[in-house]
Amino acid sequence: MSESAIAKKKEAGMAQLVLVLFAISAVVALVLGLTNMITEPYIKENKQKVINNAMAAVLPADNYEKMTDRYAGGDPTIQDIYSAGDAGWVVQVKPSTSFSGNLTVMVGVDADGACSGISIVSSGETSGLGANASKDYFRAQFVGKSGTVQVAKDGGEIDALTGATITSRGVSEAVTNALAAAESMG
Amino acid sequence: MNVKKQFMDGLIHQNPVTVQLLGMCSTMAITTTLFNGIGMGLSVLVILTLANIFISLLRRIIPNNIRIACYIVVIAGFVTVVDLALQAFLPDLSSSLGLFIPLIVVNCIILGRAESFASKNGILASALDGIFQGIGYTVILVIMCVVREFLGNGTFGGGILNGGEGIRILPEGIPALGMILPVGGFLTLACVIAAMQYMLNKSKAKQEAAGKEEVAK
Repeated sequence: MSESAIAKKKEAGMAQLVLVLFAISAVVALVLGLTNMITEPYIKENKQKVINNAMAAVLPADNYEKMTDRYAGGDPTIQDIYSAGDAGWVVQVKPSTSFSGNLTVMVGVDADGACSGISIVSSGETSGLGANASKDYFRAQFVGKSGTVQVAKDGGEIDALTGATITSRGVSEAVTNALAAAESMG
Repeated sequence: MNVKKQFMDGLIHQNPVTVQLLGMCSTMAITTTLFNGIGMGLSVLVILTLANIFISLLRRIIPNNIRIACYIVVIAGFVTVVDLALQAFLPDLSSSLGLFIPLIVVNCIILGRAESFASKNGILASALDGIFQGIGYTVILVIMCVVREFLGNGTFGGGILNGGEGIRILPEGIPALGMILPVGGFLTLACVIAAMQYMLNKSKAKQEAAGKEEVAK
């Protein structure tokens, strides 16, 4: 076999590798696209349902109006702000402190600027420890608080879930930021 | 092809978790409630079966030197399909399994079976292998879930029964929280593997003894 023939054979092999991997990837991409088309509306609806339930739990109102566009405070942890009419505001916060970086908290702020309740929308906190943040006894501590909310270890009034206080600090930060954001909205 | 042997291999002799020691990460991480265990087990079963069928189908086309890349593309595709389907139709399960569904892509059970079985066997045998290995995985997950949920939380059937709370067996305060944490996962898995090995050795010794008797006769 001449040298050029060997080179040619190698080239053909390479083309085959590229072609096979490309074909498989293309088919998989097509299947994914179709699946996404089918499931997208359902996933959107489910997410909205979670948010609606959380809003109703923290500050009951007939109607919530999304007013995130009007927020000018520039706090990057504030994700969404909803007006609950005369009742006050509902603020969705993703605090900078959390165990896994996935903590999202819905905070209700009543017309007097005090916290009316909190709900954990999503969290990747440790099961059995930080995940207890969604339990009633922990959430109830935040009701009625205003100004800066802190855990007892930092000189505040909130009893932390565990000694490490990571999740508790995250939730406290979320409430503090939400109260400030609601105040800036008037 | 021997369906019965494949079934026993998947469930006992070549059980993916207790004998092949594959997929340890998800086994430790999600076995905290019965709902999680069944959900994860069935998700892996579906993905493993689909991936096995596909890879077996393509085994003559896929060049040897890029086979792992091809397997991963196929597996990742099926995992994402299942992930989206769960998010759309079973949002509760999806949120409690969280990251561990996307992580099935790198779960070594799937890649392990693709490499050691589906790439060498026919479509039907590969499909059965996926189903049986999936059942073996699910059974171990369910055993671990029941033990850990009972000892760590004092309930049975969390996530499904009694409105998601589970049926309380031990009163609150008695269960050891550590059993739900990773340390409990290691302890439980060690006990399950030890029990399985004990059983396997026993049946092996029995077979050998029977074999000797035969020779003596």
